[in-house]
Order: sequence, then structure tokens, then C-alpha cells
Amino acid sequence: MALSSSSSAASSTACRTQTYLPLHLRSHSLQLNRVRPFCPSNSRCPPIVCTVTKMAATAVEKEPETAARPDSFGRFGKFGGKYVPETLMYALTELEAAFNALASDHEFQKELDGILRDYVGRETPLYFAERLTEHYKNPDGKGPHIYLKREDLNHTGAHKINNAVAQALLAKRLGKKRIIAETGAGQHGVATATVCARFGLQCVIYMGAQDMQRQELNVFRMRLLGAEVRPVHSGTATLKDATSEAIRDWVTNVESTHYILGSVAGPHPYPMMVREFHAVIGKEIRKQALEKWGGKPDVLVACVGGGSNAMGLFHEFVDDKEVRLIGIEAAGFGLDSGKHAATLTKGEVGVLHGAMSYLLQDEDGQIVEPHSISAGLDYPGVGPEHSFLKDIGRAEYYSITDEEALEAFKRLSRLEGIIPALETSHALAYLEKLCPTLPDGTKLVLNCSGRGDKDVQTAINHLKL
Amino acid sequence: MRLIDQTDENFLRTENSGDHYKNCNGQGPDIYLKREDLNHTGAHKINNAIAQVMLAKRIGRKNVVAATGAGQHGVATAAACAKLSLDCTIFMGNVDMERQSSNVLLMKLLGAQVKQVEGTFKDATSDAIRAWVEDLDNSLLLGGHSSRAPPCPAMVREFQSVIGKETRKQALEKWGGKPDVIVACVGSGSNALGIFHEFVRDEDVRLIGVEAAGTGIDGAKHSATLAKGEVGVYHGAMSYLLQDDEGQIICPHSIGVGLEYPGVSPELSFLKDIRRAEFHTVTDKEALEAYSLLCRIEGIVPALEAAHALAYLDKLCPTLPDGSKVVVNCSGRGDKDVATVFQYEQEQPPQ
Repeated sequence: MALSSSSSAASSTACRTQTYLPLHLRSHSLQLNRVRPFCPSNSRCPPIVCTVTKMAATAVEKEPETAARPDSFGRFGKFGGKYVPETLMYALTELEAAFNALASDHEFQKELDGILRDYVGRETPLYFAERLTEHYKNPDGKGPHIYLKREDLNHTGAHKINNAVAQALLAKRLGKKRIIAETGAGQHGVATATVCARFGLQCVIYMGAQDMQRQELNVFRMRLLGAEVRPVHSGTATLKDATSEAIRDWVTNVESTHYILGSVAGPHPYPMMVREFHAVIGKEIRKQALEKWGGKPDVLVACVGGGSNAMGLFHEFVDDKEVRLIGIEAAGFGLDSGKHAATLTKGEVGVLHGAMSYLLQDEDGQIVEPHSISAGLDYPGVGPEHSFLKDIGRAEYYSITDEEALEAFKRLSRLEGIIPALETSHALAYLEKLCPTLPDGTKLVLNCSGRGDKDVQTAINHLKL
Repeated sequence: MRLIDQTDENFLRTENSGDHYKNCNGQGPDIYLKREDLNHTGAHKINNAIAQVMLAKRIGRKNVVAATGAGQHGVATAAACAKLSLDCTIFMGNVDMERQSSNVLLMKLLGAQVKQVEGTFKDATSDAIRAWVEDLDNSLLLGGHSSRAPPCPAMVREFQSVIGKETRKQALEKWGGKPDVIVACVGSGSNALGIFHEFVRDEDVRLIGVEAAGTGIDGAKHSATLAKGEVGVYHGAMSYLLQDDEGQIICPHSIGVGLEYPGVSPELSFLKDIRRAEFHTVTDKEALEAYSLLCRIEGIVPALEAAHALAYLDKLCPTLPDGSKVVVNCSGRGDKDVATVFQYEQEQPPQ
């Protein structure tokens, strides 16, 4: 039995706390002295003993698959948790309490549903991709039926807004007037600035200076929407550094400020909260699948950067064992090139941005700079729940190179008249390998997580059209 | 039938915009936006494009030809042709190709052939008609706007009228009534007719079209056909049009490229003459301000064309009774215009 990390009450139970160490600390074993809790002088308080023990990095605890995801400590198996400075613990606890309270608040749910419908544009269609299906038929005319969940039709052009509106509403309920966020290419920044404009909240976006240079128009967009965009010059001046800077801001301004984290990464309760806000994707699919073919999907496919669109798609079906869950990461220039973002394939367990998960790190535990042609997948970490689903074998993860993604980008544009985001193109590219293996008539649903207008220039340069 | 562009288009009550237009007593109209910007390809154009491409396939055509101004109709046509596997040729003025270059890239990615024409939309339209006439057996001219010879005006209006039909149903759901005022921008008139048509016979619903006054209605650089034009024949139909004393077409101007057309729908000309609809104008500057305003207070980036309709709210709202229901057709999203707005702001003197 583990102690609560914020416990202050005396407990009569001695316990062993097991902590899972980052790579570079694994050669040490740490021993803590006996800790005496504060007790009134007229009572007897037994001592609380904690020891930290080393665990083999590859040891996998097979959690029962019916266990809560996450548990009350924010863990998915050994992954997740809250690896943050003490100053943030109260904010995270307050956030979790607010989130739990709002789950049963009908007024909040009604307001959120109205905004998702009228502002975001939900429910998004589950579209039968006739020509894509035809393309993947074998010479006998057999093959899977491919459906696209059109998250690209959302306001701002991606699934990101589902979470951004809900967190902005939550922040308002908490009385916060100031919102901060980090952004890589700018998509999450634009989504955050959008909802802040909508709800009249002050908005500060942290963006790597290098990314700002590459995405000048997105920076202008965020400013048009009323946000302040702050350049980050530390480290490699990209997304991971912007995330670190945003966390530092939050530590300093925690009373007035809410941090809209854009993915299912970060400290608890964020992975759970962001997943719940995106779970509308999977819920709609269940209903639409029943309407369209009277059953469930057989296979779900989504791209994985931090993992939010994939969790939004998967979550509804995790307990439906017959539904196959497939996540596709970015293999960049190739898995062996060292220039990729395939965290679940090539990473090792460690702690990044407040959570234990797989991450791309070198032997000293330093973060390896990832690469992908798609900025949204260009992240060295991944959501802890994905790490868990991988380890228990519930979900499968593969990877796709830049080149394969570009081909898929062009293919969907030409076959269906839908220009997908380069991130989504990774999931689409995997169909080349997947479809020949599927029985005739398999119902495959792919999350079309964003539109590709933002990627047109990149694609044209590479495809030489 | 559910189309790829998503029917049951959404309808947003804009709390912040409503508040912005309230007077000092806290009174003012309730402003609703019909979110045609959420459509696949980002504007109302796809409603018509997908239906006409389906029609083309049904009558056995292999190739679709179209002209585009801002590029929205071109992108919508290219997308529909990709989906239904027809060849697609889009004519676009070189001036427009420069101003809306992102849309040119989209059309190419969608597999369309983009042919450059010297001039703007009106010249591209003429070339598209010529190309169609050369191959009547295999190709179909896809009219994106509601002018030209029959059956174009009625056909485009019918395919766009889903906007008005949805608005009626949604208004009934939301406030148990009809809109009091409907506002839409007018280039050739397709989005305006799409939302007006359902309510033309409802005399208690005020219909307001907003044209482009460019750099000023009294100058030479505008596209305010109904305000300043005279009756003539253009692209196959009799309608108001911008012409000089000798009947030559005057080159129009607007910062909203999709409004830059010297002609207008014959049906809108008729509605103006019988006074069923009112038509006003808004300058480039006013449209740009409305663009920035909607970004800041609603987090919605409107197309510069739609921004003309939004800009008219400045003049309209103070005249309306408290609680009037105003529906503005947000006919497209403004991502394509970010570069234009960026450039405009760079050119402004520092404040």
C-alpha cells in the first residue's frame, strides 16, 4: 500500500513506497530516515517509514485490466503520477477536485455541450471514404471498409479545440482570469488563443524562438486572437523548452493562472482530464457506428504525438476487447537514423514534464531532440496512458516515416478531396501495411485529427507539385 | 443524405458580439452567426460544388471547368471532383492567384489543373466559358455564383438554400421564432441567396445584403454593383453591373477577393428593385476592422468577404430594438486572408 503524496495526517500503518526512478538514478538506492509527522503532544503517533527501492526498468507490472485508469494517485500501472515542485501540488489537487465536481454538474455539462455543438461544430461526421476503400481492395475486390472521423471539420481545424474549450470553461469556474499554454507549430496555441478570445480570458502562449521563426503566420494568428506570444530562447528553443517555460510560469502564478496543457501528457490530473475532454470523439463513433452498420468498429487507427487524439478515439473502446487499437508515431527519417519521434518504439521509461512515461532519452537521461515532418508529432514524450496500454498489450504502436506520410497526404487529397494534416497522414500511411492483412468487410475507423491547410507549403516543397 | 461537407450546419449565438453592440442601457440585438465557415473547404461554396459535380457525373460528363476569384469555389470544386473522380480545370486570374496563393496550392494538391488568366475573376469567368464551349460533350461549366444564364441562377440558389432551411429550423429550436434580420455579404450573391431564399415570402424578415465599397463608394475602386451599377447583360444574364458610359465593364476592387465581381445575381437585382431586400456597402478598412474584432471577441476568424457583413453591424445594431434576432451568414473562414491582413497591418504607420 502506498502513502498519499500529500498526506499530512498520522497513519498507523507502516508502509513501503515504491518509486520508479529515471534512468540516470537507477544505480543508486535511496534510504530515507524515519519521518515523524506533527502530532499534538497528548497523542501517540506511530512513525512512518519510507524506503525507496530500485526496480528493474524492464519489469512490467501486469495491472488487472479492470483497474481504474488512472488510480487515485494518477497512475496507469507504473506510469503517470505527479512529478512536480511542491508549489504546484495544491493547484493540481484543486484542478482535480474541480474536474470531479464538474463531471456531475448538469449546468456545466449543458454549457459545454452547447459550445461543442454551436461553436466547435460537433458532432463531426463519421465519413465512409469510398474511394480510399476502393483503393485498398485486393484484386478479388475484397478489403476493409474505411471510415474517417472528421475532426478536421472542427472550428480551428483539429481535435485540439475539444480540450481547449473545456479547460477554458473549467478555468472560468475556478475563477482564473489568466491562461497559459505552450505550443510547437502553433496549432495548440491558436486553439488556446481562440477559446480565450471566446471566453474573455487573458492569454499567454509560450513558443520556442525557432518555432516562432518557422511559423510567423501562426504567431500573427495568435496575436490577432488577442494572445501574447512569448518567445523561449533556452535549450533548443522548441516545444519541449516552451513546455518547461510554461510550467515555470505556472509555478510562479499558480493562484491567478490556469495552464491549458494540450495533450494527455503532464502531471495528474491532466492526462485523465484531457482524455475525458477528447473522449467525445469515441462516444460519437460508438453511436454513429451503430447507426451506420449496427455494430462497433473492428479497428481504430490514430496518429500519436503526445497522444490526445488517439486517447480520445480509443478510450470509449478500451474495455471492448474485440476492438483493435492502433497508434502510429513518427519515424521521421527512419527509426535507425536517430531523427524520429517514435517514443513508444524506441524510448525508455523516465520522467518528463511531470509524468512517468516512455520518452526519448540518451544514456545520461538527457532528452533526445525528436524529429518529424509534422510539428504536432515532434515530441520526445508520450501520454502515460499510452505507455500503459502498450505495456499491457491492449494497444499496438507502429511508426511511419516522413516520406510515407507525405505520400498518404497526397493520396487522400486526390482520392477523397480531403487534405489531411501531416500528423493525420501518418495514420493514413499505415493503411498501406494494415489493409492487406484485414478480412473482407472489416470496419476500420481512422481519426482524421486535423486538416492540412497549414501543411500545404511543406507538402508542395517536398512533393514538388 | 449526409454530404462530406456536413449538413445541419451550426448556428452560434455570439454572446460577446451581442455585448459589444449593446447600448449603455444594456440593450441591443441578439446576434447569431450561421457557421458556413465550418464546412469542409471552409466556405458555403461546397454546398453548390458537390451537388453540381454529382449532377455532372449523373449526366455522364468527365471533366468539370470552373472559374474562381478568391479560390474558395475552385477549392470546393477540386475537392468535389477528387471525391467523385472527375477531371477538374480551374481558371483563376493572375492577380487573384497572388492574393490567394494558399488556395492555389490547395487546388493543385486536390488534383486540379489551375490555368492562369490575365486579370481577375471576371476574366477567369470569360475564359472558363470559352473552354466549356469548346468541349460541350465532355465537360460541364460549374457555376459557383448565382449569375449567368439559366439554369445557373436557380440551380445555385437551390443548392445553397440548405443554409436558409437550416436557419429556419434552428431559429425555431433556439428561440421559437424566425430571425428578424438576416445579413449577408454580396459578391455575385450565392451565400446571400442561400440564406435569403427560405425567407423571401416572410415579409416580417428583413433581408440585408452588404457589398464592397472598396476604398470608398464615391471613388472608382469598389465592387458595389447594386449600389452603383446599371442594368445590362453580362456572362449570359441581364442584371445590374458596373459599366461605363460605353457599356464596357469597369474593373471592380475589394479587399475581399470573393466580392470583387462587376456583376451580381439577377434575382438579387430583382429583390432590390421590388424592395424586398436592402443593399448597403462597407469599405475595405471597415471590413478589416470587423475581421480583427471578431477574432478578438469571439475567437472566430471570418473570411474578409464575411467581414463585410459583420462590419455592417456597426451601423445596423444601434437602430434595432432590444432583443431583435439578427442572423449573419458567416460565409467562410479567414485563414486564407491572414497573409493579407498581416501585410495590411505591416503597412500601417506605427501607433
